[in-house]
Amino acid sequence: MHARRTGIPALCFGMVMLIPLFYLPVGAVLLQAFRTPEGTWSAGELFSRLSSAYTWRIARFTVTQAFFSTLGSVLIGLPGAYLISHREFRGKNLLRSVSTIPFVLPPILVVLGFVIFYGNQGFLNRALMNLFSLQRPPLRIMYSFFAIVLAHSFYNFPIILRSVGTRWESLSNHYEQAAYSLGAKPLRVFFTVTLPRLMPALISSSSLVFLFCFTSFAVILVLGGGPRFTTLEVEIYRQARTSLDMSSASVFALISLVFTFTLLLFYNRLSRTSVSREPGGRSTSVFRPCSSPLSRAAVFLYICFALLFLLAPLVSVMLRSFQAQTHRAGDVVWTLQWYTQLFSRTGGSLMGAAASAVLQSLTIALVTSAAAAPLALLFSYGTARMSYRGSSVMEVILMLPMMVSSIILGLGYVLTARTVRANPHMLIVLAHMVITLPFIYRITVPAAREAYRSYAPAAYSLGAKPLRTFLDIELPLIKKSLLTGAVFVFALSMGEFNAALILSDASIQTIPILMYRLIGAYNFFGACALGTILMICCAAAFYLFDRSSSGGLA
Amino acid sequence: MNGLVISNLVKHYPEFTLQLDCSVKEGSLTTLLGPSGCGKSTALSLITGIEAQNSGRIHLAGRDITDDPPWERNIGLVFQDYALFPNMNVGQNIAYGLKIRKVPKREIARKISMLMELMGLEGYEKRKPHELSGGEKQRAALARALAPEPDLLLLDEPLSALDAKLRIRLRGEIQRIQRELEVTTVYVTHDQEEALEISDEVIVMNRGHIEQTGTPQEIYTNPKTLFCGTFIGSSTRIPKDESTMFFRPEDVVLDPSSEQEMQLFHQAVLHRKHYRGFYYEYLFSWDQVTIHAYGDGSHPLGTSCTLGVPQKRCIILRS
Repeated sequence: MHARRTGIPALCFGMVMLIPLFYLPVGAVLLQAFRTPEGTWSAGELFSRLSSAYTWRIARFTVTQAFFSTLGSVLIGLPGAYLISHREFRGKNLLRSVSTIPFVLPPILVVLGFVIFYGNQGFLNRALMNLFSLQRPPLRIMYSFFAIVLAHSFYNFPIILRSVGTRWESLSNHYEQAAYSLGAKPLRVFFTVTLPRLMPALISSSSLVFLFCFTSFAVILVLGGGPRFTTLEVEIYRQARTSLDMSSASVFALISLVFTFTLLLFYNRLSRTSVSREPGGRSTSVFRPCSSPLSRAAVFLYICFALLFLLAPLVSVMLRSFQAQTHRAGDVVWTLQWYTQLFSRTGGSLMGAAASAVLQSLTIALVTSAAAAPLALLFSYGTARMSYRGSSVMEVILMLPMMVSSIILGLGYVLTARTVRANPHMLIVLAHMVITLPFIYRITVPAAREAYRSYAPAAYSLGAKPLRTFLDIELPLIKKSLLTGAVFVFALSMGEFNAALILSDASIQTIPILMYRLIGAYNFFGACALGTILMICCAAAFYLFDRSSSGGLA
Repeated sequence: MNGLVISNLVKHYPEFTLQLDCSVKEGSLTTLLGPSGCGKSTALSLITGIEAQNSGRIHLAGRDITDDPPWERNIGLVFQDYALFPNMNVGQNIAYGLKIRKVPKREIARKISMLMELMGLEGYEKRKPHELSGGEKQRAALARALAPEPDLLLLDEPLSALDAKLRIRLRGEIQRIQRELEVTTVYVTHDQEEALEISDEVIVMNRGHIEQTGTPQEIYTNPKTLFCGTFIGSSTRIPKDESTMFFRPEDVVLDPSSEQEMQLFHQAVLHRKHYRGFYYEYLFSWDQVTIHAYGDGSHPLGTSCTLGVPQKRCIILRS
């Protein structure tokens, strides 16, 4: 037996878990698209759906909003990518760390933050009305195409900022210096020398953003506000839960899958070309302070705008949770009443359910991270031992759950759970495990690969068998990233809305679902209070992790 | 034979095939020398068992280890990046192989202090790897590899991450330690100077196969292939029909007094000279080829002279 083969049992065991939890449910959705509601096989539903104008209107709208949302993210993210890779300024670290927030921010909070900040009665409109003594709110962007694009851009521009920024930082500036010395002016240098080298990072991060916007659900469901702005994902949910027409839902899922799969192929091709390093390797870019007043003003404006854009909706949610209005157009008073209502019997059926929702969410999130971590460890251990070709195949197999939307996965679970009787809490945990697996895997696999490539041969040569090598050497080296990943899984699961909603029944009440119901009942204050609790739970997880990793482990 | 014997070992890759047939004498220091991409690293991972071969056998210390997993081969490894376990201190790193072999604690302590002394690492036992300099890491890695008394010590470009001065000092030390412990050693390098200095034997590799095996002197003075001749040292190659005449610059005599048994090159013109410290390297043009020779620098550029090379120093190699 040779060293590489020790990874095979780990991978087999991992696949035994992943196949019934991901590939079979998605397969069930694909099959269902070829069945009639009566249970006979027919492609009739598929063809009638494919030829209907309604379907194509939804598909067209899905693509259009994703396109403009991506464009918005690129336009907002690109200047930031330049700044963090080239300039030294106060607030840079703040910008860097704040830009990670959207990665773990629950979409339902994004939605709520938008309503509270940009809404007709929101903080922005209130401030403008007070400032200019207006009678009516000047900004009316809610429940429009623009609101969707704005929310998506806010949620996704950090992806562009970080991925292009990292690439930009790694580029050698010798190319630019050479171009300047040959007489090219800055703008020309940017378009002819810099941009082409940023293209791979730019295109791959924008296709990721496009994919996220394409399969976005909560934002459209709430901010879209009705049949005018419905996308494939919302339509799948509506067909499955409102019309109870699984075949129609599956046909929409099939269309969505074909789109995302094409995009995945495109993305995969691009990310393969973007790995090439620049000759000379190391970054030679020098961080310069901003010298001219004009550039200093531009940087200042961008930072303010980005921080406002990122933080204002969240801060608004927190502030609003401590406020109440005496009557419909009355004054705002500070109060803790929403919090007391959340945890007492006086709050009515929705507010009174909060304690149970917090408990359910915490339990689901803890069980999910406890289950996802060992699975991610198995897969990273296995793929670290594979050849380049083999591990890139595994990469695709494991990244697919990220590409298949959680609504479609949820639909798959609904379809399979009809034959296998399963507890809905259990189903939500399993769905969350599959949804978060790509994230935790991505975090652990570099550490696992490094541990195997750099240290396992040394341990083997000293006589340590694979299990011993794993326990003595590899696990201690992977532990930290595994814990980071588990905290991410916890936060993602706490905020996960889509799969939980499609799988929920009367007994299921997670924080995001309850928030959605409170928003639906126009109890924004209550939703804000619950949203604040959600933020605190996620922040506490990261804080505890940070303390434990800087203390005991380092 | 009790050293390392590699018989007809073959490993196929899509665009590369490694073929290896050689042996390393017990207690000797043998260098695997070749340019990057020649198959040295592949050879190494086959010997250690990280990769599986397509065919062939490997014997070490009289055992057939071909199908043994890496952890049963008893081969000590020192890597270019040292691979000291970052979660253990220097002492724990060195003790690791002994603990696995269930050596008694007292014996382990004795061995650690013996090795620390041998390597000049006294007082470093409690340090973490990241607190060591490059040279110290290198020596700690060597101590760790030697602790379980391996049947073979494999050094994979052990000095290439260090600066030039330290490199020269440490290769002397590696040679000293190897002689002292008489451990069979394979030293992988692309640095011909390193190979000539420390090896008992050199195996020259190119494009996945062995070009020549021999002592450093044999390889330098009597290369069997054009690749060996040109990879090590400077030389002059003169094409002749199907073959190439090959000789070293130190064998070239300027205006020889006796012309007996000499290969002569008349009217060679000195067109460049490189200052090398205590001598000059001369480049002569003769019949569209460049002849390398050494001189004292007194000849002005453009000098025309007759160059002679003793017949027995001229090697004919097939092109």
